[in-house]
Amino acid sequence: MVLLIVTSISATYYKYIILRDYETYEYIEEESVFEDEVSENLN
Amino acid sequence: MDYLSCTFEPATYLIIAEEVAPLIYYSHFVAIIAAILISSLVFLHNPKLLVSRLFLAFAFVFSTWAFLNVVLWATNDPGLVMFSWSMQILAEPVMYAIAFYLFYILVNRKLPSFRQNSLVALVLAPLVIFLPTTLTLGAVELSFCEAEEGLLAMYYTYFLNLTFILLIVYTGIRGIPSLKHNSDQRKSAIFFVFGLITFLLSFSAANLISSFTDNWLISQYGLFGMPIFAILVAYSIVQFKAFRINVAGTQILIVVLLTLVASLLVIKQEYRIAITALTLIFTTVAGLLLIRSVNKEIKQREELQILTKKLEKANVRLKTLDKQKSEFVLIASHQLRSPLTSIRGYASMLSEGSFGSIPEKAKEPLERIETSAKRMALAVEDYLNVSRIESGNMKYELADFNLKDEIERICDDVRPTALKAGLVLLFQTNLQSKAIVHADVGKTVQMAHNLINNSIKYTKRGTITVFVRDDLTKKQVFVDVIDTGMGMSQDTIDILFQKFSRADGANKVNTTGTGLGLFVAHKMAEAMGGDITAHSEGEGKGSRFTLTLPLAM
Repeated sequence: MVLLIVTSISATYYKYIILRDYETYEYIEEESVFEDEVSENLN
Repeated sequence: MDYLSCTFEPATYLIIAEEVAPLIYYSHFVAIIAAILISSLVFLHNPKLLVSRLFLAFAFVFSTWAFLNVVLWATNDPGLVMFSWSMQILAEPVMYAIAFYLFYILVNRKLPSFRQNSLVALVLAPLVIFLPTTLTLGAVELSFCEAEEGLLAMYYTYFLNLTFILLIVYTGIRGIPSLKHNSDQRKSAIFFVFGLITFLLSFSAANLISSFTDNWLISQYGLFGMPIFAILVAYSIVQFKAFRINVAGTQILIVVLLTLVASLLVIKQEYRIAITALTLIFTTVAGLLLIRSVNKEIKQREELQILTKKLEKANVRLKTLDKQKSEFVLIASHQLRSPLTSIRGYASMLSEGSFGSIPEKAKEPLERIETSAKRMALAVEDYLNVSRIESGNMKYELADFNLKDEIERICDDVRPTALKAGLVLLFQTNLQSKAIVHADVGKTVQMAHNLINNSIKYTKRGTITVFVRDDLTKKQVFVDVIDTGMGMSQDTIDILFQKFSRADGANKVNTTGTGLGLFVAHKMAEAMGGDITAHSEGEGKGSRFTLTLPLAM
Protein backbone atom coordinates (compact mmCIF):
# COMPACT_ATOMS: atom_id res chain seq x y z
CA MET A 1 0.00 0.00 0.00
CA VAL A 2 2.83 2.39 0.92
CA LEU A 3 4.54 1.58 -2.41
CA LEU A 4 1.30 2.25 -4.27
CA ILE A 5 0.85 5.60 -2.51
CA VAL A 6 4.46 6.63 -3.25
CA THR A 7 4.06 5.64 -6.93
CA SER A 8 0.80 7.55 -7.15
CA ILE A 9 2.31 10.69 -5.57
CA SER A 10 5.28 10.49 -7.97
CA ALA A 11 2.93 10.10 -10.96
CA THR A 12 0.87 13.10 -9.79
CA TYR A 13 4.03 15.18 -9.37
CA TYR A 14 5.28 14.14 -12.80
CA LYS A 15 1.91 14.97 -14.42
CA TYR A 16 1.22 18.34 -12.85
CA ILE A 17 4.64 19.80 -12.02
CA ILE A 18 6.89 18.38 -14.73
CA LEU A 19 4.58 17.72 -17.68
CA ARG A 20 2.07 20.43 -16.62
CA ASP A 21 -0.63 18.27 -18.16
CA TYR A 22 -3.93 19.89 -17.14
CA GLU A 23 -6.75 21.82 -18.69
CA THR A 24 -7.27 25.45 -17.78
CA TYR A 25 -10.17 27.80 -18.15
CA GLU A 26 -10.95 31.40 -17.27
CA TYR A 27 -13.36 31.97 -14.40
CA ILE A 28 -16.42 33.33 -16.15
CA GLU A 29 -19.06 31.13 -14.54
CA GLU A 30 -20.73 33.89 -12.46
CA GLU A 31 -21.12 36.11 -15.48
CA SER A 32 -22.46 33.30 -17.62
CA VAL A 33 -24.94 32.24 -14.92
CA PHE A 34 -26.07 35.85 -14.68
CA GLU A 35 -26.35 36.08 -18.42
CA ASP A 36 -28.25 32.80 -18.59
CA GLU A 37 -30.72 33.98 -15.96
CA VAL A 38 -31.19 37.32 -17.73
CA SER A 39 -31.70 35.67 -21.08
CA GLU A 40 -34.14 33.16 -19.51
CA ASN A 41 -36.15 36.00 -17.94
CA LEU A 42 -36.16 37.90 -21.14
CA ASN A 43 -37.42 34.88 -23.00
CA MET B 1 9.61 28.61 -20.71
CA ASP B 2 6.64 30.73 -19.64
CA TYR B 3 3.85 28.86 -18.00
CA LEU B 4 0.28 29.95 -17.61
CA SER B 5 -0.37 31.49 -14.22
CA CYS B 6 -3.33 32.70 -12.19
CA THR B 7 -4.35 36.33 -12.09
CA PHE B 8 -2.49 37.30 -8.92
CA GLU B 9 1.14 37.86 -8.06
CA PRO B 10 3.48 34.86 -7.54
CA ALA B 11 4.29 33.72 -4.00
CA THR B 12 7.77 33.81 -2.49
CA TYR B 13 9.01 30.65 -0.77
CA LEU B 14 5.79 28.90 -1.88
CA ILE B 15 3.72 30.33 0.96
CA ILE B 16 4.32 34.08 1.28
CA ALA B 17 1.89 36.18 -0.73
CA GLU B 18 -0.25 39.28 -0.28
CA GLU B 19 -3.49 37.35 -0.83
CA VAL B 20 -2.95 35.27 2.30
CA ALA B 21 -4.47 36.73 5.47
CA PRO B 22 -2.14 36.59 8.53
CA LEU B 23 -4.77 34.50 10.32
CA ILE B 24 -4.16 31.69 7.84
CA TYR B 25 -0.47 31.52 8.71
CA TYR B 26 -1.34 31.66 12.36
CA SER B 27 -4.01 28.95 12.38
CA HIS B 28 -1.99 26.63 10.14
CA PHE B 29 1.42 26.98 11.70
CA VAL B 30 0.17 26.77 15.29
CA ALA B 31 -1.53 23.50 14.30
CA ILE B 32 1.55 22.22 12.45
CA ILE B 33 3.95 23.14 15.28
CA ALA B 34 1.65 21.64 17.91
CA ALA B 35 1.15 18.40 15.95
CA ILE B 36 4.86 17.93 15.16
CA LEU B 37 6.04 18.97 18.62
CA ILE B 38 3.63 16.81 20.61
CA SER B 39 3.97 13.76 18.36
CA SER B 40 7.78 14.05 18.35
CA LEU B 41 7.85 14.25 22.14
CA VAL B 42 5.65 11.17 22.44
CA PHE B 43 7.76 9.39 19.82
CA LEU B 44 11.09 10.28 21.45
CA HIS B 45 9.89 8.99 24.81
CA ASN B 46 8.78 5.66 23.35
CA PRO B 47 10.29 5.23 19.85
CA LYS B 48 9.63 1.49 19.75
CA LEU B 49 5.95 1.77 20.55
CA LEU B 50 3.75 1.31 17.47
CA VAL B 51 1.22 3.94 18.59
CA SER B 52 4.02 6.51 18.96
CA ARG B 53 5.12 5.85 15.37
CA LEU B 54 1.56 5.98 14.07
CA PHE B 55 0.94 9.25 15.91
CA LEU B 56 4.10 10.71 14.35
CA ALA B 57 2.90 9.56 10.90
CA PHE B 58 -0.50 11.13 11.59
CA ALA B 59 1.11 14.43 12.59
CA PHE B 60 3.33 14.32 9.49
CA VAL B 61 0.38 13.75 7.11
CA PHE B 62 -1.66 16.43 8.89
CA SER B 63 1.22 18.93 8.71
CA THR B 64 1.69 18.20 5.01
CA TRP B 65 -2.02 18.80 4.48
CA ALA B 66 -1.93 22.09 6.40
CA PHE B 67 1.23 23.27 4.64
CA LEU B 68 -0.27 22.48 1.22
CA ASN B 69 -3.33 24.45 2.28
CA VAL B 70 -1.19 27.54 2.82
CA VAL B 71 0.53 26.87 -0.53
CA LEU B 72 -2.92 26.76 -2.17
CA TRP B 73 -3.80 30.13 -0.62
CA ALA B 74 -0.55 31.69 -1.77
CA THR B 75 0.46 30.24 -5.13
CA ASN B 76 -0.43 31.46 -8.60
CA ASP B 77 1.05 28.42 -10.33
CA PRO B 78 -1.75 26.19 -11.72
CA GLY B 79 0.52 23.11 -11.81
CA LEU B 80 1.32 23.51 -8.14
CA VAL B 81 -2.37 24.04 -7.39
CA MET B 82 -3.27 20.78 -9.12
CA PHE B 83 -0.51 18.87 -7.34
CA SER B 84 -1.21 20.33 -3.87
CA TRP B 85 -4.94 19.84 -4.33
CA SER B 86 -4.40 16.17 -5.30
CA MET B 87 -2.13 15.63 -2.30
CA GLN B 88 -4.75 17.11 0.03
CA ILE B 89 -7.38 14.79 -1.43
CA LEU B 90 -5.08 11.85 -0.69
CA ALA B 91 -3.97 13.10 2.75
CA GLU B 92 -7.46 13.36 4.25
CA PRO B 93 -8.49 9.67 4.03
CA VAL B 94 -4.93 8.59 4.92
CA MET B 95 -5.23 10.68 8.11
CA TYR B 96 -8.55 9.02 8.89
CA ALA B 97 -7.03 5.59 8.22
CA ILE B 98 -4.10 6.27 10.58
CA ALA B 99 -6.57 7.57 13.18
CA PHE B 100 -8.47 4.29 12.86
CA TYR B 101 -5.27 2.23 13.36
CA LEU B 102 -4.24 4.36 16.36
CA PHE B 103 -7.63 3.97 17.97
CA TYR B 104 -7.81 0.23 17.22
CA ILE B 105 -4.45 -0.41 18.91
CA LEU B 106 -5.29 1.81 21.90
CA VAL B 107 -8.51 -0.13 22.47
CA ASN B 108 -7.51 -3.68 21.53
CA ARG B 109 -3.73 -3.65 22.16
CA LYS B 110 -3.16 -5.47 18.87
CA LEU B 111 -3.18 -4.79 15.13
CA PRO B 112 -6.48 -5.06 13.21
CA SER B 113 -7.29 -8.43 11.63
CA PHE B 114 -6.31 -9.35 8.06
CA ARG B 115 -9.92 -8.71 6.99
CA GLN B 116 -9.93 -5.18 8.41
CA ASN B 117 -6.51 -4.44 6.86
CA SER B 118 -7.78 -5.69 3.51
CA LEU B 119 -10.87 -3.50 3.81
CA VAL B 120 -8.71 -0.42 4.49
CA ALA B 121 -6.44 -1.22 1.51
CA LEU B 122 -9.41 -1.99 -0.74
CA VAL B 123 -11.29 1.25 -0.07
CA LEU B 124 -8.13 3.37 -0.34
CA ALA B 125 -6.89 1.72 -3.56
CA PRO B 126 -9.23 3.42 -6.12
CA LEU B 127 -8.34 6.89 -4.84
CA VAL B 128 -4.62 6.13 -4.81
CA ILE B 129 -4.66 4.50 -8.26
CA PHE B 130 -6.74 7.20 -9.95
CA LEU B 131 -5.11 10.14 -8.14
CA PRO B 132 -3.19 11.43 -11.21
CA THR B 133 -6.20 11.08 -13.53
CA THR B 134 -9.08 13.39 -14.47
CA LEU B 135 -11.34 11.27 -12.26
CA THR B 136 -9.78 13.14 -9.31
CA LEU B 137 -9.06 16.60 -10.76
CA GLY B 138 -10.21 17.76 -14.16
CA ALA B 139 -8.96 21.27 -14.76
CA VAL B 140 -7.79 24.44 -13.06
CA GLU B 141 -9.46 27.81 -13.40
CA LEU B 142 -7.11 30.72 -13.55
CA SER B 143 -8.84 33.72 -11.98
CA PHE B 144 -9.00 32.22 -8.45
CA CYS B 145 -6.47 29.43 -9.03
CA GLU B 146 -8.85 26.65 -7.99
CA ALA B 147 -9.01 23.06 -9.24
CA GLU B 148 -12.14 21.53 -10.66
CA GLU B 149 -12.79 18.29 -8.82
CA GLY B 150 -13.69 15.08 -10.64
CA LEU B 151 -16.11 12.39 -9.47
CA LEU B 152 -13.62 10.69 -7.14
CA ALA B 153 -12.68 13.90 -5.34
CA MET B 154 -16.27 15.07 -5.08
CA TYR B 155 -17.98 11.92 -3.86
CA TYR B 156 -15.56 9.07 -3.15
CA THR B 157 -13.57 11.02 -0.54
CA TYR B 158 -16.75 11.49 1.51
CA PHE B 159 -17.42 7.78 1.27
CA LEU B 160 -13.85 7.05 2.40
CA ASN B 161 -13.96 9.43 5.37
CA LEU B 162 -17.33 8.01 6.37
CA THR B 163 -15.98 4.44 6.13
CA PHE B 164 -13.11 5.23 8.49
CA ILE B 165 -15.35 7.11 10.93
CA LEU B 166 -17.71 4.11 10.94
CA LEU B 167 -14.73 1.77 11.51
CA ILE B 168 -13.63 3.95 14.46
CA VAL B 169 -17.18 3.99 15.87
CA TYR B 170 -17.49 0.22 15.39
CA THR B 171 -14.12 -0.35 17.14
CA GLY B 172 -15.25 1.91 20.01
CA ILE B 173 -18.66 0.23 20.42
CA ARG B 174 -17.13 -3.26 20.35
CA GLY B 175 -13.98 -2.52 22.33
CA ILE B 176 -14.68 0.12 25.00
CA PRO B 177 -17.38 -1.75 27.01
CA SER B 178 -15.05 -4.75 27.39
CA LEU B 179 -12.41 -2.45 28.96
CA LYS B 180 -14.39 -2.14 32.22
CA HIS B 181 -11.70 -4.01 34.13
CA ASN B 182 -8.94 -1.77 32.78
CA SER B 183 -9.62 1.84 33.71
CA ASP B 184 -6.35 3.18 32.19
CA GLN B 185 -7.00 1.63 28.80
CA ARG B 186 -10.62 2.78 28.92
CA LYS B 187 -9.53 6.30 29.78
CA SER B 188 -7.03 6.37 26.92
CA ALA B 189 -9.70 5.19 24.44
CA ILE B 190 -12.20 7.78 25.67
CA PHE B 191 -9.60 10.58 25.48
CA PHE B 192 -8.85 9.60 21.91
CA VAL B 193 -12.52 9.62 20.88
CA PHE B 194 -13.06 12.92 22.66
CA GLY B 195 -10.01 14.42 20.89
CA LEU B 196 -11.12 13.14 17.50
CA ILE B 197 -14.66 14.48 17.99
CA THR B 198 -13.26 17.90 19.03
CA PHE B 199 -11.07 17.98 15.95
CA LEU B 200 -13.78 16.88 13.53
CA LEU B 201 -16.37 19.17 15.09
CA SER B 202 -14.13 22.25 15.03
CA PHE B 203 -13.08 21.41 11.47
CA SER B 204 -16.53 20.75 10.06
CA ALA B 205 -18.24 23.50 12.10
CA ALA B 206 -15.79 26.08 10.76
CA ASN B 207 -16.34 24.77 7.22
CA LEU B 208 -20.11 24.89 7.66
CA ILE B 209 -20.07 28.47 8.96
CA SER B 210 -17.79 29.42 6.06
CA SER B 211 -20.12 27.93 3.48
CA PHE B 212 -23.13 29.73 5.02
CA THR B 213 -21.42 33.10 5.29
CA ASP B 214 -19.33 32.57 2.16
CA ASN B 215 -16.31 33.70 4.11
CA TRP B 216 -13.72 30.95 3.75
CA LEU B 217 -11.40 32.66 6.18
CA ILE B 218 -13.61 31.40 9.03
CA SER B 219 -12.97 27.80 8.02
CA GLN B 220 -9.32 28.37 8.93
CA TYR B 221 -10.30 28.64 12.61
CA GLY B 222 -11.21 24.95 12.36
CA LEU B 223 -7.53 24.07 12.44
CA PHE B 224 -7.27 25.30 16.02
CA GLY B 225 -8.95 21.99 16.92
CA MET B 226 -5.71 20.23 15.96
CA PRO B 227 -3.59 21.22 19.00
CA ILE B 228 -6.40 20.03 21.29
CA PHE B 229 -6.62 16.77 19.37
CA ALA B 230 -2.83 16.36 19.49
CA ILE B 231 -2.79 16.92 23.27
CA LEU B 232 -5.59 14.43 23.83
CA VAL B 233 -4.02 11.78 21.55
CA ALA B 234 -0.72 12.29 23.32
CA TYR B 235 -2.51 11.82 26.62
CA SER B 236 -4.10 8.61 25.28
CA ILE B 237 -0.68 7.25 24.36
CA VAL B 238 0.63 8.35 27.73
CA GLN B 239 -2.08 6.30 29.43
CA PHE B 240 -1.18 3.47 27.07
CA LYS B 241 2.35 3.16 28.38
CA ALA B 242 4.14 4.59 31.40
CA PHE B 243 5.40 7.99 30.34
CA ARG B 244 6.51 10.99 32.33
CA ILE B 245 3.54 13.18 31.46
CA ASN B 246 4.49 16.04 33.76
CA VAL B 247 7.97 16.32 32.24
CA ALA B 248 6.66 16.20 28.65
CA GLY B 249 3.72 18.43 29.61
CA THR B 250 6.02 21.07 31.04
CA GLN B 251 8.19 21.00 27.91
CA ILE B 252 5.15 21.44 25.67
CA LEU B 253 3.72 24.18 27.88
CA ILE B 254 6.95 26.19 27.84
CA VAL B 255 7.53 25.89 24.08
CA VAL B 256 3.93 26.78 23.18
CA LEU B 257 3.78 29.65 25.66
CA LEU B 258 7.07 31.02 24.33
CA THR B 259 5.77 30.81 20.75
CA LEU B 260 2.49 32.48 21.68
CA VAL B 261 4.06 35.27 23.71
CA ALA B 262 6.81 35.89 21.14
CA SER B 263 4.21 36.15 18.38
CA LEU B 264 2.55 39.01 20.33
CA LEU B 265 5.63 41.09 19.53
CA VAL B 266 5.30 40.74 15.76
CA ILE B 267 1.57 40.32 15.21
CA LYS B 268 -0.77 43.14 14.21
CA GLN B 269 -2.86 44.88 16.89
CA GLU B 270 -6.22 43.43 15.73
CA TYR B 271 -5.06 39.84 16.22
CA ARG B 272 -3.62 40.39 19.69
CA ILE B 273 -6.88 39.74 21.50
CA ALA B 274 -7.32 36.43 19.67
CA ILE B 275 -3.78 35.34 20.58
CA THR B 276 -4.16 36.41 24.20
CA ALA B 277 -7.41 34.43 24.41
CA LEU B 278 -5.71 31.41 22.85
CA THR B 279 -2.80 31.71 25.30
CA LEU B 280 -5.27 31.87 28.18
CA ILE B 281 -7.16 28.76 27.00
CA PHE B 282 -3.95 26.84 26.41
CA THR B 283 -2.45 27.80 29.77
CA THR B 284 -5.67 26.84 31.55
CA VAL B 285 -5.94 23.41 29.89
CA ALA B 286 -2.24 22.55 30.18
CA GLY B 287 -2.08 23.95 33.73
CA LEU B 288 -5.05 21.88 34.87
CA LEU B 289 -3.58 18.73 33.33
CA LEU B 290 -0.24 19.39 35.02
CA ILE B 291 -1.78 20.11 38.42
CA ARG B 292 -3.80 16.90 38.15
CA SER B 293 -0.74 14.88 37.25
CA VAL B 294 1.35 16.37 40.06
CA ASN B 295 -1.46 15.73 42.56
CA LYS B 296 -1.74 12.16 41.34
CA GLU B 297 1.98 11.64 41.72
CA ILE B 298 2.03 13.08 45.26
CA LYS B 299 -0.91 10.85 46.20
CA GLN B 300 0.84 7.81 44.75
CA ARG B 301 4.04 8.66 46.62
CA GLU B 302 2.15 8.97 49.92
CA GLU B 303 0.41 5.65 49.30
CA LEU B 304 3.78 4.11 48.47
CA GLN B 305 5.29 5.37 51.73
CA ILE B 306 2.41 3.93 53.76
CA LEU B 307 2.73 0.62 51.90
CA THR B 308 6.50 0.53 52.48
CA LYS B 309 5.99 0.98 56.22
CA LYS B 310 3.36 -1.78 56.25
CA LEU B 311 5.69 -3.99 54.26
CA GLU B 312 8.56 -3.41 56.70
CA LYS B 313 6.32 -4.41 59.63
CA ALA B 314 5.04 -7.44 57.75
CA ASN B 315 8.60 -8.44 56.92
CA VAL B 316 9.69 -8.31 60.56
CA ARG B 317 6.62 -10.32 61.57
CA LEU B 318 7.31 -12.86 58.83
CA LYS B 319 10.90 -13.32 59.97
CA THR B 320 9.70 -13.93 63.54
CA LEU B 321 7.08 -16.37 62.33
CA ASP B 322 9.62 -18.19 60.16
CA LYS B 323 11.98 -18.53 63.11
CA GLN B 324 9.15 -19.79 65.30
CA LYS B 325 8.13 -22.26 62.60
CA SER B 326 11.69 -23.62 62.31
CA GLU B 327 11.89 -23.98 66.09
CA PHE B 328 8.53 -25.73 66.15
CA VAL B 329 9.58 -28.17 63.41
CA LEU B 330 12.86 -28.81 65.21
CA ILE B 331 11.16 -29.55 68.53
CA ALA B 332 8.36 -31.57 66.92
CA SER B 333 10.80 -33.60 64.86
CA HIS B 334 12.95 -34.32 67.91
CA GLN B 335 9.86 -35.40 69.81
CA LEU B 336 8.96 -37.70 66.92
CA ARG B 337 12.41 -39.14 66.48
CA SER B 338 12.79 -40.71 69.93
CA PRO B 339 9.50 -42.72 69.85
CA LEU B 340 10.29 -43.74 66.27
CA THR B 341 13.65 -45.15 67.31
CA SER B 342 11.85 -47.23 69.97
CA ILE B 343 9.26 -48.48 67.47
CA ARG B 344 11.96 -49.45 64.94
CA GLY B 345 14.15 -51.04 67.61
CA TYR B 346 11.38 -53.15 69.20
CA ALA B 347 9.93 -54.13 65.80
CA SER B 348 13.38 -55.30 64.70
CA MET B 349 13.90 -57.23 67.96
CA LEU B 350 10.46 -58.83 67.58
CA SER B 351 11.14 -59.99 64.03
CA GLU B 352 14.58 -61.31 65.01
CA GLY B 353 12.89 -63.44 67.73
CA SER B 354 14.38 -61.69 70.75
CA PHE B 355 11.05 -62.15 72.53
CA GLY B 356 10.45 -65.68 71.39
CA SER B 357 9.10 -66.96 68.10
CA ILE B 358 6.24 -65.07 66.56
CA PRO B 359 3.39 -66.62 64.65
CA GLU B 360 3.71 -66.75 60.81
CA LYS B 361 0.58 -64.57 60.41
CA ALA B 362 2.15 -61.74 62.42
CA LYS B 363 5.39 -61.64 60.35
CA GLU B 364 3.98 -59.60 57.44
CA PRO B 365 2.32 -56.91 59.62
CA LEU B 366 5.55 -56.68 61.58
CA GLU B 367 7.53 -56.16 58.36
CA ARG B 368 5.13 -53.38 57.41
CA ILE B 369 5.62 -51.71 60.79
CA GLU B 370 9.38 -51.78 60.19
CA THR B 371 9.17 -50.36 56.64
CA SER B 372 6.74 -47.63 57.62
CA ALA B 373 8.78 -46.65 60.67
CA LYS B 374 11.93 -46.52 58.52
CA ARG B 375 10.17 -44.32 55.95
CA MET B 376 8.87 -42.06 58.68
CA ALA B 377 12.33 -41.77 60.25
CA LEU B 378 13.75 -40.68 56.89
CA ALA B 379 10.99 -38.04 56.49
CA VAL B 380 11.59 -36.75 60.02
CA GLU B 381 15.29 -36.60 59.23
CA ASP B 382 14.51 -34.50 56.12
CA TYR B 383 12.33 -32.09 58.17
CA LEU B 384 15.04 -31.82 60.79
CA ASN B 385 17.65 -31.07 58.14
CA VAL B 386 15.46 -28.37 56.59
CA SER B 387 14.89 -26.68 59.93
CA ARG B 388 18.62 -26.93 60.74
CA ILE B 389 19.54 -25.40 57.38
CA GLU B 390 16.99 -22.61 57.75
CA SER B 391 17.96 -21.77 61.30
CA GLY B 392 21.66 -21.95 60.37
CA ASN B 393 22.29 -24.77 62.84
CA MET B 394 23.52 -27.36 60.37
CA LYS B 395 26.98 -28.48 61.42
CA TYR B 396 29.55 -29.58 58.86
CA GLU B 397 32.59 -31.58 59.90
CA LEU B 398 34.91 -30.85 57.01
CA ALA B 399 37.79 -33.24 56.36
CA ASP B 400 39.83 -34.59 53.45
CA PHE B 401 38.65 -37.96 52.11
CA ASN B 402 38.69 -40.00 48.91
CA LEU B 403 35.42 -39.29 47.12
CA LYS B 404 35.93 -42.02 44.50
CA ASP B 405 36.20 -44.73 47.17
CA GLU B 406 33.11 -43.47 49.01
CA ILE B 407 31.03 -43.35 45.82
CA GLU B 408 32.19 -46.83 44.78
CA ARG B 409 31.17 -48.14 48.20
CA ILE B 410 27.73 -46.54 47.91
CA CYS B 411 27.31 -48.10 44.45
CA ASP B 412 28.16 -51.53 45.88
CA ASP B 413 25.61 -50.98 48.68
CA VAL B 414 22.85 -49.84 46.37
CA ARG B 415 23.47 -52.31 43.50
CA PRO B 416 21.23 -55.07 44.98
CA THR B 417 18.32 -52.57 45.19
CA ALA B 418 18.92 -51.59 41.56
CA LEU B 419 19.08 -55.24 40.48
CA LYS B 420 15.83 -55.88 42.35
CA ALA B 421 14.25 -53.08 40.31
CA GLY B 422 15.62 -54.67 37.09
CA LEU B 423 18.28 -52.03 36.55
CA VAL B 424 22.01 -52.16 35.85
CA LEU B 425 24.13 -49.88 38.04
CA LEU B 426 27.51 -49.01 36.54
CA PHE B 427 30.41 -47.27 38.25
CA GLN B 428 32.95 -45.48 36.03
CA THR B 429 35.78 -43.02 36.59
CA ASN B 430 37.93 -40.66 34.58
CA LEU B 431 40.29 -39.10 37.08
CA GLN B 432 43.54 -37.24 36.80
CA SER B 433 43.84 -36.87 40.56
CA LYS B 434 43.12 -39.12 43.53
CA ALA B 435 39.77 -37.35 43.97
CA ILE B 436 40.54 -36.24 47.52
CA VAL B 437 37.88 -33.70 48.48
CA HIS B 438 37.49 -31.41 51.45
CA ALA B 439 33.94 -31.95 52.71
CA ASP B 440 31.74 -33.61 55.34
CA VAL B 441 31.92 -37.38 54.68
CA GLY B 442 28.54 -38.25 56.23
CA LYS B 443 26.69 -35.54 54.36
CA THR B 444 28.48 -36.32 51.08
CA VAL B 445 27.43 -39.96 51.39
CA GLN B 446 23.87 -38.81 52.19
CA MET B 447 23.81 -36.58 49.08
CA ALA B 448 25.20 -39.29 46.79
CA HIS B 449 22.76 -41.84 48.24
CA ASN B 450 19.93 -39.42 47.63
CA LEU B 451 20.88 -38.86 43.99
CA ILE B 452 21.44 -42.57 43.18
CA ASN B 453 18.27 -43.67 45.01
CA ASN B 454 16.27 -41.01 43.14
CA SER B 455 17.57 -42.36 39.84
CA ILE B 456 16.55 -45.90 40.81
CA LYS B 457 13.08 -44.70 41.84
CA TYR B 458 12.43 -42.80 38.63
CA THR B 459 13.91 -45.31 36.16
CA LYS B 460 11.75 -48.22 35.00
CA ARG B 461 14.34 -49.97 32.86
CA GLY B 462 17.84 -49.48 31.54
CA THR B 463 21.02 -48.39 33.27
CA ILE B 464 22.18 -46.01 35.92
CA THR B 465 25.74 -44.85 35.43
CA VAL B 466 27.66 -43.23 38.25
CA PHE B 467 30.65 -41.42 36.80
CA VAL B 468 33.36 -39.80 38.89
CA ARG B 469 35.56 -37.28 37.04
CA ASP B 470 37.67 -34.26 37.93
CA ASP B 471 38.84 -30.95 36.49
CA LEU B 472 42.22 -29.88 37.78
CA THR B 473 42.02 -26.35 36.37
CA LYS B 474 38.73 -25.73 38.19
CA LYS B 475 39.97 -27.80 41.15
CA GLN B 476 36.70 -29.71 41.35
CA VAL B 477 35.50 -33.30 41.41
CA PHE B 478 32.21 -34.22 39.75
CA VAL B 479 29.90 -37.16 40.42
CA ASP B 480 27.47 -37.65 37.51
CA VAL B 481 24.45 -39.85 38.11
CA ILE B 482 23.08 -40.59 34.64
CA ASP B 483 19.90 -42.59 34.18
CA THR B 484 17.64 -43.75 31.35
CA GLY B 485 14.50 -42.88 33.32
CA MET B 486 11.51 -40.60 32.98
CA GLY B 487 13.48 -37.35 32.48
CA MET B 488 12.17 -33.84 33.13
CA SER B 489 11.06 -30.71 31.34
CA GLN B 490 13.01 -27.45 31.80
CA ASP B 491 10.10 -26.10 33.90
CA THR B 492 10.54 -28.99 36.34
CA ILE B 493 14.32 -28.52 36.47
CA ASP B 494 13.80 -24.84 37.34
CA ILE B 495 11.86 -25.68 40.51
CA LEU B 496 13.53 -29.00 41.33
CA PHE B 497 15.76 -27.71 44.13
CA GLN B 498 13.01 -25.74 45.85
CA LYS B 499 11.40 -26.87 49.07
CA PHE B 500 8.50 -29.37 48.71
CA SER B 501 8.78 -29.35 44.91
CA ARG B 502 8.48 -32.62 43.06
CA ALA B 503 8.83 -33.52 39.41
CA ASP B 504 5.72 -33.75 37.23
CA GLY B 505 4.30 -37.26 37.49
CA ALA B 506 6.63 -38.08 40.39
CA ASN B 507 3.66 -39.11 42.52
CA LYS B 508 2.81 -41.89 40.08
CA VAL B 509 6.26 -43.45 40.48
CA ASN B 510 7.18 -42.61 44.04
CA THR B 511 4.43 -41.92 46.53
CA THR B 512 6.58 -41.56 49.61
CA GLY B 513 8.85 -38.60 48.71
CA THR B 514 8.63 -35.42 50.77
CA GLY B 515 10.02 -33.10 48.12
CA LEU B 516 12.79 -32.15 50.55
CA GLY B 517 15.60 -34.54 49.60
CA LEU B 518 17.02 -32.51 46.70
CA PHE B 519 16.49 -29.22 48.55
CA VAL B 520 18.51 -30.51 51.51
CA ALA B 521 21.21 -32.08 49.30
CA HIS B 522 21.55 -28.89 47.24
CA LYS B 523 21.88 -26.70 50.33
CA MET B 524 24.45 -29.08 51.83
CA ALA B 525 26.53 -29.12 48.62
CA GLU B 526 26.47 -25.32 48.49
CA ALA B 527 27.50 -25.04 52.14
CA MET B 528 30.53 -27.23 51.40
CA GLY B 529 31.60 -25.05 48.45
CA GLY B 530 30.09 -27.34 45.83
CA ASP B 531 26.85 -27.62 43.90
CA ILE B 532 24.25 -30.00 42.53
CA THR B 533 22.89 -29.44 39.04
CA ALA B 534 20.27 -31.26 36.99
CA HIS B 535 20.09 -31.76 33.25
CA SER B 536 17.60 -33.54 31.02
CA GLU B 537 16.85 -33.59 27.30
CA GLY B 538 13.14 -33.69 28.18
CA GLU B 539 10.47 -35.99 29.50
CA GLY B 540 11.16 -39.67 28.80
CA LYS B 541 14.76 -38.93 27.80
CA GLY B 542 16.57 -39.65 31.08
CA SER B 543 18.33 -37.25 33.44
CA ARG B 544 21.80 -36.37 34.65
CA PHE B 545 22.44 -35.06 38.15
CA THR B 546 25.90 -33.74 38.91
CA LEU B 547 27.33 -33.32 42.39
CA THR B 548 30.34 -31.00 42.44
CA LEU B 549 32.77 -30.77 45.36
CA PRO B 550 36.04 -28.85 45.71
CA LEU B 551 39.31 -30.78 45.52
CA ALA B 552 41.35 -30.70 48.74
CA MET B 553 44.22 -28.21 48.44
